Amino acid sequence: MISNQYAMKHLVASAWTFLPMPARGISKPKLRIGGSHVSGGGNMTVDTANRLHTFAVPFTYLTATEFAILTGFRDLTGPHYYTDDNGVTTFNVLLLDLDVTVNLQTRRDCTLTLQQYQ
Amino acid sequence: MIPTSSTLNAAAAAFERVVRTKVTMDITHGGHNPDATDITPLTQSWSVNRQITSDVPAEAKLVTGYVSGELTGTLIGSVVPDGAIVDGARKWSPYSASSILGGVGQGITNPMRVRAGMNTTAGDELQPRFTGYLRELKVHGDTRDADFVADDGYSQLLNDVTLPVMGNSYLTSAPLTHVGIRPNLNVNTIMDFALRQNNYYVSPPPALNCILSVPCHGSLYAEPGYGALSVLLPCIEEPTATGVETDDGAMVSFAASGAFSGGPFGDNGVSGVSPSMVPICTGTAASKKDIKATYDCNSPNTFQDAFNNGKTITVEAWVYCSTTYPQGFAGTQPAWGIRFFQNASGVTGSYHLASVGVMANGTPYVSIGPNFTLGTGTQPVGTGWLYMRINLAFGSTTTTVKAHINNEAVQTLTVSAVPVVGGIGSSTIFQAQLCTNRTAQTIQTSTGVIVPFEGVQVTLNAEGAPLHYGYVPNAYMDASLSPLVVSPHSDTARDAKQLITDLTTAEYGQSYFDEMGNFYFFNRNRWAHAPGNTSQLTVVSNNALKSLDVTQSDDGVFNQISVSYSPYGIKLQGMVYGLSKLIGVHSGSTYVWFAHMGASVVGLSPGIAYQTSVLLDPLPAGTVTDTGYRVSWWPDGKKPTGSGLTDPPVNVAVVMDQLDDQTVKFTVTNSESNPIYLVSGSDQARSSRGNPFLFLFGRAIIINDPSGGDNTGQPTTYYTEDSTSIGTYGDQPLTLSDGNVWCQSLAVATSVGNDMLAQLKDVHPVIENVSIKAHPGLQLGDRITLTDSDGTQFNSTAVITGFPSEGWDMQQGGGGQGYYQNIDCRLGV
Repeated sequence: MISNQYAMKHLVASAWTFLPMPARGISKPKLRIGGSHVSGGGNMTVDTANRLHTFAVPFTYLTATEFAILTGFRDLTGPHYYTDDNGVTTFNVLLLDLDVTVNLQTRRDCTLTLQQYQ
Repeated sequence: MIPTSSTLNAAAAAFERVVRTKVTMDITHGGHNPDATDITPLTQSWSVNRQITSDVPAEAKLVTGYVSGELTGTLIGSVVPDGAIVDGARKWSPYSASSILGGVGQGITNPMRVRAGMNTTAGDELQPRFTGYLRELKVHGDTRDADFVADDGYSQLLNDVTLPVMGNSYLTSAPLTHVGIRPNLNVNTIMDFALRQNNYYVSPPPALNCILSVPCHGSLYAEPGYGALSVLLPCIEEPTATGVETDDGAMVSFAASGAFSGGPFGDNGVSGVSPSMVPICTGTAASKKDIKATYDCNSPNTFQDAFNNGKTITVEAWVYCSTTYPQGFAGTQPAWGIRFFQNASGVTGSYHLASVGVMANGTPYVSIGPNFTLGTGTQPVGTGWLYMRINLAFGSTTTTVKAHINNEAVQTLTVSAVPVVGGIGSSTIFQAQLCTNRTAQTIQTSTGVIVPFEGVQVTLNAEGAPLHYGYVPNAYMDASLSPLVVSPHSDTARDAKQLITDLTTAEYGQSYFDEMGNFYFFNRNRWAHAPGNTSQLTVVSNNALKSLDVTQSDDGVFNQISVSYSPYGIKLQGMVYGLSKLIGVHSGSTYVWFAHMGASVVGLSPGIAYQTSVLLDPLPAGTVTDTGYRVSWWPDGKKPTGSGLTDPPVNVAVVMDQLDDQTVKFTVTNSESNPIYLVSGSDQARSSRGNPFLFLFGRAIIINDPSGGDNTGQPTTYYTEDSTSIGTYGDQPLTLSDGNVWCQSLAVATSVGNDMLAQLKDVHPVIENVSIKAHPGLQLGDRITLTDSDGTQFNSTAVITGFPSEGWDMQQGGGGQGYYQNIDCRLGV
């Protein structure tokens, strides 16, 4: 089933490409970009420049059409826009990984890993 | 310290800080705006280094040298709008079709700027940390990124400077009517000259149609931390909280003696009153020579043109008007002005043309021609530094006066008065004089005046928007502590960067370009009086100070100090050239030759005329009293043999043209029908007849040789030592200002040597590699309090003398140094 919420598009593309509905287990941790220094008395000052998401989005039991949508992104090096709320919030992301599993029952699974870059 | 908001200070002091940076550059070919293009997304990291380069050991508290800032960093690629995806190599390589800078050589020397700051409760607040020029770009094919190096403004001081030979006028009490003499010559004068050649301006550059610019040396705006009265004054005294203080950093000054009679500026309107003020700009219509940094008065489109041909003249200046009127002035007494004056030498007397200025309360003052004085107008709101702009549009019988104080029109009216110009001959002199009203002063000091002013400009511009109101300089100078005797001759143009560092060294001060790319010159008192003597930031080891090294070493002890100096002097007016060979000129012909005077000469007697006075025999130099020549019909000086010949020949003209400081060109035109010879003739004492006779008089610049000779070009040395220190640490010699032509007198060398010995004869701790919690407002010269109660027990104020490193190192996961700052310090005095 194609979602109406999860979508990606290439940075120069005009239209969103809706993704299949993800399976359970979406992870969206934040990565801190920054540094720190420790004073003579042991106090730490933390400098944070940014906090970036890493998205890991699993998909299971994909149809051939759905599978093609996802693997289609593999041919583009990106960056892409990514949204998980139908374009209300968008992230600049790089496609880090598209992990594909096709088993003998022609079950198609894959996990999309995206890194927000700024 | 760069003024920072309370919200930024709070964000910088927080334990967890959200730091921001911005990196900008002008990517267009030949671009000059460092803020033009935001390349922050393409910048992975940056680091700035500002450290003193000096010939003085770090142990000297008296820190000196120049600080050349360098920015390094790493650039990466990103996305361009056309959809092409490029990595860092493609983005920055000159061989890449999608290079942001273009092809080979493009972008190098383009300006760039980095800022750092915090996300505060008021949003993102950033401060500039470096402004400079891209010097090197190294693109890596494997890692697909690029390293860059940018240097500060020193790298752009590219125009070599040809300095005029000038002498300091304090050496003479004679009127300054000669070319090449400037009152109160000092390091500031030369530095200002060099900076202007390289587009750095302490006071405004000449506006279009400028006919006189007195650049002065000070800044128009208060130095950070010095308050409103810190402005460095051009030529006179600087008001301070404790009274009036002499400011030696002068460009021009007044040496008038006694009170003037006849009007506040000697402009009572009566033609024929000789000026008793020092002209700042003078020249004859024939010579068209001038002092550098002023403009020729007599050429077309100059004073002569303005006053004689009814043009419009505009005077701009910044004048300091104190709430308390200085030295006894009443509020409505004219205090400062510039006067235009025609000295019709050889015609009749002299002519007051006009003067403009301000009264002690800031109201404009104008007088025009022989019988008009205007002292009314609206008093400006507020006191302090006032921008004055007075515009005089001369008609045939009336003059329209328009005056602005600050940006406010305070006077507009038309009066029935015009300047009355006297006859104009080849020797007519038009002068501009900077004047103060000594008549009204109750305290008359020998050095003159008390009304500070800055950046005077006279233009032939019509009334319009004030030209330079709100001018922000891009160079700032402390008043120099080192007077100069001369600006000496140089066979080649001087490299501007080298010149400025030499001048800085002679002063034992410091020069650098700040975070915004503005030039700063500090004299050696600056570090002893760091702004306000109050600490601007407190850095405590338990929460902000990361590390601090205190070094003591006997390597840093110097107890035998030698300061070399070039003891320039300007001789009194005397003979600088005497013809030694026989020169004859055919009838009806012209003969040209060049006299090499063997030394730089200032104040060459400008006229050359037939000398009739009887001289002693033989011809000793001292008996000739002025530049002149004699001619005869015969090489041996005999009487003419033909009938009807005058004795000596009369139809002979010798014209002198000073080509440079050492060379004079003579043109002898013989209009007689017989040959003539430049020798003493039969009208002179017998024993001198036939001797070549042509003498030039002027003031030769020499280097005083202690052994008695002149002009040997050898510097000499002031030496001082401390025997107690020698007994403890052994002989530790240090030589300073070696071969520096800008250290010119024993007094300066002695001052520097004694200062240095006092600083260096004992062991002093040096505070270095102080790693602190970075603050984006810190600057060189800031005073901070360092407290290391856990480690070294150091607890004192210190002055920042360098930033060995400051930078931006952000890593994924937060493993970097963050926004970091390391400083070098000297103990606060």
